[in-house]
Amino acid sequence: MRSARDIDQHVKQLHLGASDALDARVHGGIDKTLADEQKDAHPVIRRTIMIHPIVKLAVAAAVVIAGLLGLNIINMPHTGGVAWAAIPGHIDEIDTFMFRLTIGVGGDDTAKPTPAGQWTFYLSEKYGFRMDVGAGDGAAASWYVAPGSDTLITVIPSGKTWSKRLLSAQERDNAMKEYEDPADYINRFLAHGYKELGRSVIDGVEVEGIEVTDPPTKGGKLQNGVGRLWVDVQTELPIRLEIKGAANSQAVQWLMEFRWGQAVDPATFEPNIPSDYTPLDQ
Amino acid sequence: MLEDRVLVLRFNRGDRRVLHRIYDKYKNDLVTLAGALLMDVSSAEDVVHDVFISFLASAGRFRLTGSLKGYLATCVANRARNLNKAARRHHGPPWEDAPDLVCDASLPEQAAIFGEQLARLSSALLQLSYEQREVLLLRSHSGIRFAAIAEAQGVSINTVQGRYRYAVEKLRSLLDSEADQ
Repeated sequence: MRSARDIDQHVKQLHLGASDALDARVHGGIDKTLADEQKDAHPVIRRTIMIHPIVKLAVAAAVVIAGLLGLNIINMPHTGGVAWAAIPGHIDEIDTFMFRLTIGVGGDDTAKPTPAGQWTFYLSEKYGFRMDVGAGDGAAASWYVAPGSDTLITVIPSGKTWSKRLLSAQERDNAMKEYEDPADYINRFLAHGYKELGRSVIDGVEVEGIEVTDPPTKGGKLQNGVGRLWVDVQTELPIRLEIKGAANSQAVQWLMEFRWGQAVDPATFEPNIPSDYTPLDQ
Repeated sequence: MLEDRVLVLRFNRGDRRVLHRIYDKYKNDLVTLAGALLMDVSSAEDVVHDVFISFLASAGRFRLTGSLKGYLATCVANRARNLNKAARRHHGPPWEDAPDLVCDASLPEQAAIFGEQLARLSSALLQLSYEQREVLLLRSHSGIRFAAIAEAQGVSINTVQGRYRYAVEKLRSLLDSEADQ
């Protein structure tokens, strides 16, 4: 005598596989529809045109800063360049956002790493780009790029100086090489198999998280690597991404914090150059 | 299900390329559901194709909330129901050449056992009314809540639960009687 649960189990066992012909029809139909709409949707094209320079400039500016500070961030072993490249791509999903990257290294692989640097990015299709280096009372330096512009404005509070120059083709090329679609990174992150962390609260926001072991990096593999992604339950936007592990027997920590949309003040994108600052050679 | 949240987020923000991933993730479940409802593989694949193309066209016009799988399964059930009604009006039931639905078991011994049982199950499903079969499949195969099924079918939750109970009892009776023979 079968129980109702037995019947449920039998029904769950039913299985038909989609044919190759159906795969081709659906994937082809999606591609064709999107391609047709691209031809007609001028705002979409406009958005794409605007996004690409900003994304390029974002990473290009990161390269500039790495050189200025003597930090080879992009090639730093085992911290990878994945998030550097992927996070600016979130502009695809929302007009304005901020993310703050804090990197910690040092100590043995069980110790809490010493903060090695902090970078705060502000990205907006509407307002442009800004990046701050340094934490605490104020940024050591800030870089600004207006929407649709290739002009980089640099403000260095410690030296009371500022400058303005065009980004080089080399910097733009570097940016393109480093770019990775954030969706691809998230897919790679999730493809590692994850466990649910349940709900928690970060800065007063209710979040839900997952944890993956051996999180993807573009550089070498982290030893005992663990990645955690926390998403705002209400908005379904990422709030925090943490990656911890060890490289060359030293602890490595990588923390990214996000703010989205109206949480970012448009005034943040305006270069703040006090009148007593000295302009450097243009 | 965080991947679904990410996919829905990207879809709601206009990135319709994620439909490729959504399709790959749920295509077999949806073809199975449509196949078990219509008992015709060709019609089932047409239904799944049409659901995804319509889904694509709807991007930006509404916000998808709740379960992605549940939403797609409901869309498939709605289209299959319309197709079934049309077929009944013109030609009678479209399942004269019903396929045997096979199981996904990996062990050969289990496959043989489940294969035999499911061949009987698919035959038994044909003896349910379309409405009962739909409720049973949406609940047991797709995991949709009774309240959501009731909303999709435009009937009360009591009616849906009654159809489910009747379908289970009838299937149990059919399968037990065949096993006794």
